[in-house]
Amino acid sequence: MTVQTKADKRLAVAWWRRVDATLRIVAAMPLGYAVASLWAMMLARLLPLFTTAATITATLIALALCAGAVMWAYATISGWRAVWTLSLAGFIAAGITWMSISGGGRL
Amino acid sequence: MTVLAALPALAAFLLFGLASDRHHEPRFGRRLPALDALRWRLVGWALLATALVGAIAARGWVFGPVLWAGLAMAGAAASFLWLNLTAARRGMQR
Amino acid sequence: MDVDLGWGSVVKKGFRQSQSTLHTWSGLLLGWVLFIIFVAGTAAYWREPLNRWMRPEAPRVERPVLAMKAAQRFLARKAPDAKTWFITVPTVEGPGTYVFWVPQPDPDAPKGRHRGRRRDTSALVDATGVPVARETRGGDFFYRFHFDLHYMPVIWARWLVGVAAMMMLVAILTGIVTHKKIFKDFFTLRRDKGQRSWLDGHNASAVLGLPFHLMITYTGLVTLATMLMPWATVANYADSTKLFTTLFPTAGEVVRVGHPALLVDLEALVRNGERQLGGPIGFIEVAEPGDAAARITMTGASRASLSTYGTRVAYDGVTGRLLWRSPPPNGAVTTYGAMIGLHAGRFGDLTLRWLYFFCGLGGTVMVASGLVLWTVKRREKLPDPLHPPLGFRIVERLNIAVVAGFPLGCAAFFLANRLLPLATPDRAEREITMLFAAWGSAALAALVLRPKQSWAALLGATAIGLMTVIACDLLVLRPGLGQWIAVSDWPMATVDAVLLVLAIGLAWTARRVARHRPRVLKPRAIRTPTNKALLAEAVAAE
Repeated sequence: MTVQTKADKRLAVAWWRRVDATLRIVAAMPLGYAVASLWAMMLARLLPLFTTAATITATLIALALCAGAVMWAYATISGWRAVWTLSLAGFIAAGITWMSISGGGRL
Repeated sequence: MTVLAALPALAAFLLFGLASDRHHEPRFGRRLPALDALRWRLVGWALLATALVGAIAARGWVFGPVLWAGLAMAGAAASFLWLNLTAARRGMQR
Repeated sequence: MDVDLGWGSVVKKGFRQSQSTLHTWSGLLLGWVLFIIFVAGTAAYWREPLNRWMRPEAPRVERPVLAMKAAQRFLARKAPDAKTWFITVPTVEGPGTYVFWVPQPDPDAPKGRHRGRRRDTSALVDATGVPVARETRGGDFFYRFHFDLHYMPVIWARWLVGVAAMMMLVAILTGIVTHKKIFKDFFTLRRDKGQRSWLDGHNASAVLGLPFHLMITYTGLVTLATMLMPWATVANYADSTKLFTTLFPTAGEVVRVGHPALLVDLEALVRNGERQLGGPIGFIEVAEPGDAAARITMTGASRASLSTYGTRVAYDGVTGRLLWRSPPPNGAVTTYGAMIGLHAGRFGDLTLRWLYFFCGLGGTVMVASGLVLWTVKRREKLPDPLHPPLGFRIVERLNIAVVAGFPLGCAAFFLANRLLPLATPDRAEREITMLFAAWGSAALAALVLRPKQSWAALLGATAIGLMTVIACDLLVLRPGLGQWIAVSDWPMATVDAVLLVLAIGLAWTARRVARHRPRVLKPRAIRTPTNKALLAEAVAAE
């Protein structure tokens, strides 16, 4: 690394912090809500209950998951990690839901 | 009937509060030894359990626990205010 | 835990620290919305008593059954050929019977907004069967406001309230995580210590009422769940109405036969219904009254059960024969209904209602003290206290505008209720306009005056406003406060008593603010540094 001035260093850190913070906000709100919604869909299909019961239970759990996702977005080490872990959780739920719906259909 | 649930709840939180150093020392002149504090707290928990029984007796199995939660919070708040405002009057605030 | 973010920057992170930052932001960003939700929601626990208190001419409902019969007579006079009558069974708490009717569909009328205004097909009928003279939204205003807000489409309002509620839930959970000594500091209240006193107050109001705050926030989200989280429904149902017919079973549609027949007397039917459902009746729906095909459906009162999904029963409207009973709801539906019921608190008797009210006040104090704490904490750390940054100034002014301004608006609302002449056109909406006019003026004052002045002035003005309302009740209103006490009409007198206590509290707070002498803070630059600070600077300068 070439010799960097202190000012350069501080600017770089400030920029990185902003990116990190932005990633976390994106992870928390839009992504967190999306993940909670996808998990709601997956749980609604998978829970071994009557349809109405599964739907209601999945909804109740999803509300808590949304709050949890927001907390995770800030607890985890970096903004990037928040984004990819939540995205992965979302994709898994989306995949399972899609398979379940194409297999069994909806009422 | 409700009173049978309210009073133990209030007493429980007063015990919890008085067992803490902050409120015990100014009133009794010395720190409460850890083992004694534990005993006081256990009695407090027992009183809370009694309050739950009382609340269920007063309002049934569905509304009883709701009443108990409400009375516990009221007891906690009342104890908080009582302990802190009387400490202030005695000029014992740190 | 040190984290290397690259470029040699190392950030001290910890779970508690990260959640503390999240707590501050999720609490602050919509904290002002949460404050008004809490104030209105807490007032809404006294919805029916306020409905009655804001219509003081309405006679007390001594015998709900007689009031209901009077309402049936009113409907038979006013809308004998309606398609459906909706009757909310009167209670001793409220001002009378709320009735609503749907006129027969007019095949010649143009499609769209042709139904006419809601008020033309609804009425509040007092115990004697006469429509109540004083037009006001009453306690219903606070109830509706706390999720529908005002001056905006309800969908927007509910989304805003929903997002705010989710941020509140995050704030509560992160608050628990961040509060290191939650048990040790349970009874701590340090007085006159600036930021630490505010912190103790915020912690106390939050922790002492924690079961309530957690419950009310989560169940609040549950009440809006069909809008906020409909995806489970989408996953399981191609047609969501199928879910709603399971949740709200009906006996089917009623088809008019055009053969007039006398409607059976509701009183006896209500008694039968109470026996069938094992509790009081809350709501009666009469389909095709006056017709041979008339059907009467009754729903159990929400004060009788925790779950708001009341069981229902239907009778033939002419013979009174039992036709249909709703199937018992399954466990999940009951859980869902119970959560909504816990939030609404309608099941409670007086003791439980007061406990809910005090918890609501605690929640309001929690939100308000959190908002103020933010400014107090940062004011102590300002590099230049005379020129604070924009963010700080915005929060400081917004705090005053909302925390002091909205209660002033509510006081103006009550005052308008007492002072506006009965014959004022659009009276109900005018009262609400007064609320927002007062709130707007308060916001202006918050912007223009210095914070200490505006806090004291607005809190004081609210106290004066409330005391004026009480004075009105005592001196001007007939029957007024004196009469209520004389005949032991405690629900009415207690409203004034509570307003008096609030007024005294506000006046005391205003006085304390006006007399507050802050510690003089010099700009950081000329403050005497400690040895530690000097050493740290020397190290950093290397």
